[in-house]
Amino acid sequence: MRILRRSFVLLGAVVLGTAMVGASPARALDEGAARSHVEATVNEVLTLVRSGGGPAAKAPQLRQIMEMRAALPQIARFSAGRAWTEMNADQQRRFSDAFANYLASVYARRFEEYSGQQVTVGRVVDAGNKGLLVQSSVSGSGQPVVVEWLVSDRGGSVQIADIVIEGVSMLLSQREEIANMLASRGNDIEQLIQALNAT
Amino acid sequence: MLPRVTALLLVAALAGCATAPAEEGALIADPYENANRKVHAFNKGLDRGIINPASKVYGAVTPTTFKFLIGNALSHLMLPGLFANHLLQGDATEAAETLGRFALNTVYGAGGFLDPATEFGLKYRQTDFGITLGEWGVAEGVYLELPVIGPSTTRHVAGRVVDIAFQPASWLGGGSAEALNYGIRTLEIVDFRDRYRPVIDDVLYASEDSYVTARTTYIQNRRRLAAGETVVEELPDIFEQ
Repeated sequence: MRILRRSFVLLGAVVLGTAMVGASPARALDEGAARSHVEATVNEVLTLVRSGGGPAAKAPQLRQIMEMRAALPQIARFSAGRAWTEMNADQQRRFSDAFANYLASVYARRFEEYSGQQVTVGRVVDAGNKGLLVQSSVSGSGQPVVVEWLVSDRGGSVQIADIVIEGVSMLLSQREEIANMLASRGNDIEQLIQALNAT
Repeated sequence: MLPRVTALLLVAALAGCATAPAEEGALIADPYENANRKVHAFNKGLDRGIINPASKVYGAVTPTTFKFLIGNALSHLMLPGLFANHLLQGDATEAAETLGRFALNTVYGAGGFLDPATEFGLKYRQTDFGITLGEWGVAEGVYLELPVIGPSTTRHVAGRVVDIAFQPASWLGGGSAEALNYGIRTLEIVDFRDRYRPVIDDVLYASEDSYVTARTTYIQNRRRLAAGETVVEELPDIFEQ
């Protein structure tokens, strides 16, 4: 009897031990994957920016890059802030679409200014469950600018979750701006969607 | 001297009192938004009318070498203040680096017009008295936009008043020193506008509401400067339900 009980205890301990080891999250996203994702994104963006044509023509292609490389659905939801929960499913879909167009236009224009720059990817900082923060330096004429890329795999694949330029998070800034755009339109979501599409 | 001290005490007192809770989701409290927006409109008009055109002329007309020398000289004048602030913040390494930089560039950098110190690893370590106040536990305060100077916080305003006292140009007395002071300030503004043109143009002219863009850009950048690095805890979590 005692031997049987002891075996059960032993078996229990082994099972518990295995479960505990299995429960600790293994780092699924490794530095190499994060870094190469950022490098690939940077190359695609710079190739697009350096190609001929104005920012308006490049916006659709930039949107495609963003859809492939970044967690756009979650980014759109975050940028909407509290307003997201006040939208019905149809508005959410249309907002996300309009927001993606808006983002692509804004960044197509912004990146135009960086066409002559070099981007050097540097160290990777652990951002806990937010992912990995890949540091890079954008240099051309004058001071190099620190650009950090927050990379996460919680969306199912390796994606960019935010871009931080000299400490300024693009997502935090976008959320403030969208909130302001909504407030200045009397909190009318349809008008907001229209305004985003018109950019 | 006395008016300056009074102003300093006044602003320091203000820094202590003017704290209001931020709106939910907002980065910083902005109880003076109406007044701030008026100042912002004024600043933007000033930029469109005078500062931007002047900086474009400066940028086009000034040979790159001159801009390099001027840029170096302007930063060099900030070093005594930086040294004092790093000391006050208890950052011995940064203080030592700043002192070394000042000495090296003064002697071997033609009085600060050249910058051999950077190659020796003695880089320019940005800080100011507003950051020092933060290290001492003074709260950020609320958002303010100042004429000409632009975005600020109550704490940063108090800091600026003290920092002006640290600049060598302030140590000279007399009429010609005042003129020199104004000359240096003007050059600083025009050089800064030219140097950071893409960023400033982006903030002021590329968004629907430049007031909000300026505020969020300034506050986030300021907090990074205070922390010394990007604070992971303050980054957004887009996967949070």
